[in-house]
Amino acid sequence: MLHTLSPLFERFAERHFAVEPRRRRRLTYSELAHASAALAERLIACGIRPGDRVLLVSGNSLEFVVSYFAVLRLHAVAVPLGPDEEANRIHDVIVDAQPRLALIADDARPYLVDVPTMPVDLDALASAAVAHLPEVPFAADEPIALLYTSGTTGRPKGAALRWGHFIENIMDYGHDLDVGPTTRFIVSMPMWHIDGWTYSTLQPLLFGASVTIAPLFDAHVAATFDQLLEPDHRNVLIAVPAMLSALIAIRGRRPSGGGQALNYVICGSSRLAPELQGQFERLFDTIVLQNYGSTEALLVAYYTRQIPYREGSVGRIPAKCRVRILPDGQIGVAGAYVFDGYFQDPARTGLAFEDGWYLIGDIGTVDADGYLYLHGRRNDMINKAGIKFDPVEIDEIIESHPAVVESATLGIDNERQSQDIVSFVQVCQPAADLERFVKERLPQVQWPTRIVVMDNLPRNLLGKVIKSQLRQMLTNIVASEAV
Amino acid sequence: MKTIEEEVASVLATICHRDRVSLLDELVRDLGVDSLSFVQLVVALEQRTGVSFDDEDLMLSMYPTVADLARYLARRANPSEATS
Repeated sequence: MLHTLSPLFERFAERHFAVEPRRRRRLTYSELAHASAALAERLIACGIRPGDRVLLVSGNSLEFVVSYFAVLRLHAVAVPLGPDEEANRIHDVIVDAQPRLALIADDARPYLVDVPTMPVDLDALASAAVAHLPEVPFAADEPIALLYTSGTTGRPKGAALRWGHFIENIMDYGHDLDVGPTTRFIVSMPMWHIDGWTYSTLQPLLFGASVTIAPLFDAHVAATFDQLLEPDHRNVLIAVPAMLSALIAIRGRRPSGGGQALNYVICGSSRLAPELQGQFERLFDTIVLQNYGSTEALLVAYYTRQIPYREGSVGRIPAKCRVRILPDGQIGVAGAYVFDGYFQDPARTGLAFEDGWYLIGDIGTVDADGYLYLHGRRNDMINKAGIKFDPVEIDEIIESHPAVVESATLGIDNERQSQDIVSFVQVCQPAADLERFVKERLPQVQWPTRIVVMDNLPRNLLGKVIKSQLRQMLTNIVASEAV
Repeated sequence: MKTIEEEVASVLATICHRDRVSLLDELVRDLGVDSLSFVQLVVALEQRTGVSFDDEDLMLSMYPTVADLARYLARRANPSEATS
């Protein structure tokens, strides 16, 4: 097991670690080592000590990478947040994590009022003198990040990622994928979530690989995707199915000029339709390797080039991960990679496990050879292009409107390999301002695509809303609109 | 034949599941367009109007309203008649 970072920085010294093409900036391993040490010293000067939480507020950028390693080298705990988070969520995270300081990248809006902030200026760090930063080995149970996921009771919960299980997971996966010095990860997913964070920091570092940091995936990234591919490298795109669908759509606009090879795609977060996978592989002359996991469980199943594809399966369960299908069909996960709890939250940690098995939230089956198959979410969880949340979070906001009796929100699969959010709302009086009311209180990713106002929601004898009937009603509405 | 404004409104109505779309509607706030549905919107608009976006102009933030999007496409279709 790896215990220190310096040998890696030194061994790969002059190789590129990270490039940010849009800003024409790049960092070698040596430059990253220097900048992160300089920033770590500034943090020490501000009184930050091992175990303290530090917010990282940044979009996808080199500043994020430097900030992350600075905090790690101090043995402090990074709490990454995106640059456009809602004020309520920031407040909740701050209350929960009690950070001592926030590191702010250039592009992050200065919206933090409750915590002292420090800007991250790469030029200043590059020219700063660095004294010798003492190297203390990492302990296996030491937390290295708190990643906040949305919680069903409104309050976000911080999954504590610990050095030992995280390093073991990415070391095993990296070996199986044959990651090496010529591997170039392409990250366009949010770096403050598990995938973007992993592939822009520790996963490349362990193998002397590098990362291309693209802005959050959008039409411009899709249209200029070929420019992200690095010559003479094994380019690996980190994706979710909705990104593959968008890349196919954009590629159809005009003939492509060939260009650099895309070695393979790592695609996670939801089941990938075999048709979409095949279409992408043909169009981009590449192979898509699915994986499946979560912030809490890390990787539960995956493919590599050596693991033969089985239609419908999200991948094979690795040797150190144990999966048990519980009597109600839920997937329970145990083994070397699984987290051991939410930050200072024994109550919700207790709810996350059953008899020592972590409940990942999906229904599934395992075949005789250890391939895992998904058969839907346990609790109607919405998955919007990889961002997962409980519809209850939306219903709670809608139901706080004085005219609303009850709300039932569903995720409906759309043609973009993502989901539309549809809220069926029972009102007791007209609510003309409902849409505005909801949008003012929810992050954009949770805005309903449509709100269907009704006098009564369909209910069973116990008064519980029948969601299957709502789905059918919506199908009928959409069909009538298409005529 | 539909005008570009009518094409834009009609494509948006389909993608965003709206009965009608006004030129003054804001793409993000009123119609809920996000980065992924914008990709679909771009592809559909190019197919329907025969006018193509410049890759550098594929930023949702460049088009606050439906009218802004229609104006951009009109200018791309006929650069010489561009008005402010």
